[in-house]
Amino acid sequence: MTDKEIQQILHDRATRLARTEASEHEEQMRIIVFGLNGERYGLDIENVVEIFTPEKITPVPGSPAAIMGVTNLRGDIVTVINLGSALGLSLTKNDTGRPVILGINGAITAGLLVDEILGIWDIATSTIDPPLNTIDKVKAEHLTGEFKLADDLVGLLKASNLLEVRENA
Amino acid sequence: MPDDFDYSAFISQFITECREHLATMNTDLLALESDPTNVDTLGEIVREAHTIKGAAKMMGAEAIAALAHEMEDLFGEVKDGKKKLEAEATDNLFTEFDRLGGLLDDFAASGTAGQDSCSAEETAPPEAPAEPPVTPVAPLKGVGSTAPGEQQKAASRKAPIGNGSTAAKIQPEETVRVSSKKIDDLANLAGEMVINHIKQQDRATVIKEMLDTYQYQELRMRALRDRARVLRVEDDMRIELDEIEAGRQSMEKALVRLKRSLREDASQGDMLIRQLTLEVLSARMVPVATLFDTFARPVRDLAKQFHKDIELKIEGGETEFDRRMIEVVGEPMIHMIRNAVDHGFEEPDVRAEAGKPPRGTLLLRARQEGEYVSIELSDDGAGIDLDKVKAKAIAANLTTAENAALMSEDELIQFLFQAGFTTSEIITDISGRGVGMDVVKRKIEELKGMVYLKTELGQGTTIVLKVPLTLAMARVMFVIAGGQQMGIPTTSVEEAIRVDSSQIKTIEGREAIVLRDHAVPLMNLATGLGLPASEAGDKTYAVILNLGDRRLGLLVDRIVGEQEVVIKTLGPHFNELRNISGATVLGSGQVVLILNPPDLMAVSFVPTSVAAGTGERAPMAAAKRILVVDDSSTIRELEKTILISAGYEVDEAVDGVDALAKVAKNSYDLLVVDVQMPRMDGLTFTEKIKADERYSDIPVIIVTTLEKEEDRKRGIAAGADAYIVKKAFDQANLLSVIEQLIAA
Repeated sequence: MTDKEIQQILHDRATRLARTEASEHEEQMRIIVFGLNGERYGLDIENVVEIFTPEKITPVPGSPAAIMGVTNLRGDIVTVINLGSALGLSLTKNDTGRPVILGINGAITAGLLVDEILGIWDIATSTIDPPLNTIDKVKAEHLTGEFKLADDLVGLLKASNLLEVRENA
Repeated sequence: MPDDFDYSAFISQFITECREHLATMNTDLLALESDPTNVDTLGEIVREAHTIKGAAKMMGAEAIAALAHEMEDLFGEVKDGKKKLEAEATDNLFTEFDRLGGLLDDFAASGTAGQDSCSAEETAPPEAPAEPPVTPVAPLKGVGSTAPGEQQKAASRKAPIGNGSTAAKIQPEETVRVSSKKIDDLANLAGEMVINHIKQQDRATVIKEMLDTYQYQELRMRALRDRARVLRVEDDMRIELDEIEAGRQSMEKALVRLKRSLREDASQGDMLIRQLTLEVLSARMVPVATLFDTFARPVRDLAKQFHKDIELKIEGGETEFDRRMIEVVGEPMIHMIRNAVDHGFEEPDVRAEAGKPPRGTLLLRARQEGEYVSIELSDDGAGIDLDKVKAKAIAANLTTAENAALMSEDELIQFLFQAGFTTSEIITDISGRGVGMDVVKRKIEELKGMVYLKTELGQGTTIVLKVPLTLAMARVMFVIAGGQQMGIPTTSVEEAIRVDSSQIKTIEGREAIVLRDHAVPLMNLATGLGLPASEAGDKTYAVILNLGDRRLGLLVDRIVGEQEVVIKTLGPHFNELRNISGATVLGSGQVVLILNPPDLMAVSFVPTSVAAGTGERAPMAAAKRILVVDDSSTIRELEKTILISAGYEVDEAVDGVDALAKVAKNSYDLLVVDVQMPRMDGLTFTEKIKADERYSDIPVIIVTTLEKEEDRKRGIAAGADAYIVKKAFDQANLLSVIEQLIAA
């Protein structure tokens, strides 16, 4: 089985499981949920191209701190963003072997390095609340909402600023 | 679009596109035979015919356009229910479709457009167009029988012009449209094959080693057999030895054969891969017209905005170069076009007064010159007033009036390429602000290209960009620094040498090495890039970069080797990044960064206090002229390097006597003088200079090892404007003192 097929199967399973999360008629959003620094985050599947695990990430001297470096994806060079550092979380140490979500927003593509992929769920948009106003500024800039998945709170990220790595003034 | 626009580059694309549409129309018509009233199918045919019509009109292929137009009308009416599609009509229609296909063939064969001699509406003039031989396009047989009724009349109206399709037909090259992504992928693969091939060539050395071993064994075997003979060992043992030797010999022969065939394969493989790479890269070549074409609209819009009347002319639009190059060149070109429209061209009435045609001409010309494509952008506008440039440069403190008076036209033109320089009286919202010619120059230089500008007052301005045909492949030297592998383009590498730590001298605050009597400043590549410094052993390597008049030694841990690689650009996240120009993917899949020598050069000469900051380039001083007086060639070389990299022009003198002669001959903005020198020392020289009212205004900096207070006083007494002790000397200090004195 190729990675793609495996991903498809996992995706199908997740979708089947997710049926319980949202009823058929409501407006839904398909969201990939992943773990980062012990917290849960999600990204609209529309902004996701694929998931891959880079073998080696080459650091680029002089680039913003949130950029881990570049890696090779079938001959293309992909920028890898350390999502944890972009969100102002404490840095996670083990960088190799972690999955990268290849995100896309308009003309910009970049990989987001996360801790683990938890799955894909269909979430009713009505259950997505605006982000808590207690969250700090860095996070607030990248969060568009949050929702509950089982007992966990998932922060829904917006792709635009994240993928561009706009540096905070 | 300008009248003399060269369409020929687009013919094959046009033909391919039309054939695709025609194929769809054929399929649709087949479907209509069984389902003649299907509105969707009819709608599609109408759209397809419409597209062909539009494209044909663009290309000036009137016959094709006319026929497609009639088809569009006919199917439109059938779709609207105004007409019925009879069974026998479809046969005729198929024939007409074929005829459209025939017209496309003829058009392709004629090899030209714009001079479509088979216009359906008008008779082509008998005189041949001023183009190279053109095969007349097949005439219309009469656009008829597409449908009953008025279509017939239309046909007779558009009657044939005469038969001209007798000349030899050139078979059009068959083309397939492929996404550029696929071609990029192919280029990637070809690049990886190159790397793989280099690896395979390394295997040949393994065989050579094996062969050496076997040949050494022959000697031992001979000795053994000699001893066996001398010792008169039993026969069967000697036979055994003979057999082993025979086996060894045949093995050796086999290895020799293997080595030879491997070498042959390698050289053939080398050739094939080279060819493959070239072919793939050529597949990525596109006519420059695809870029020039996009300028028609901005020229028109800008001309309107600035109340100018401008005609865009394009020459050499068929010149091909790398699509990626075209993408990068586009932006600077648009900027230059804006400049030309805004500042270059005069208003129509001004032009008329000057006796010029009221309508200005903006000419874009492309031409291949060896490995380069030269793109010329010329306007017949007002030209650039170099006196104004001079005045502006003086006003902006970029030079002095005396210096400016001595400058050649070319030297004055260089000011136009400096940041923030504009000759425009008013800063208009288009070209006064934003990117300037300095950005254009930098962009083009990043592509390893060049920019020239010629201008004549009242006649116009021409800017020439010379860029390499392709930027995909480059030869790089791989090095390891700070634990990371990096590539350096070999075009900037003069040599790589092994350096003993004892050879590294600290000359006036910075590390340098003396190479054949010249001091070459050094930079630790790892720390220079902000990587952790590696444990320095006694021996290290220095890669000597050479960019024209500047040299810099990069200290690295190790040199890995040289390779031909495919250079890829880093994503948009790294647009602002200095020091790194791209990356390449190794056979192992690892991404290796490619360094940008000009940036490294600039960074290494920025005063340390600034370099640690934002990473922005230090502002370059203008071409002021400085005379460096020192008896030590090393120190002269070093000071010269520092000053040149800060943008100064530098002359050298070996002692006071030499310096006096130079000062009398040339004009200098500043003098940097050593104290202890043969023939005439620095203090005496300074006294003489300050005593001469012709030169007394020139600032003098004394740089010396003498540290005593009384020496300092002597220096001041001699009239020196600044006094720098060599021990405390660092380039930041020197540059800031110079800046103060020159600005004053």
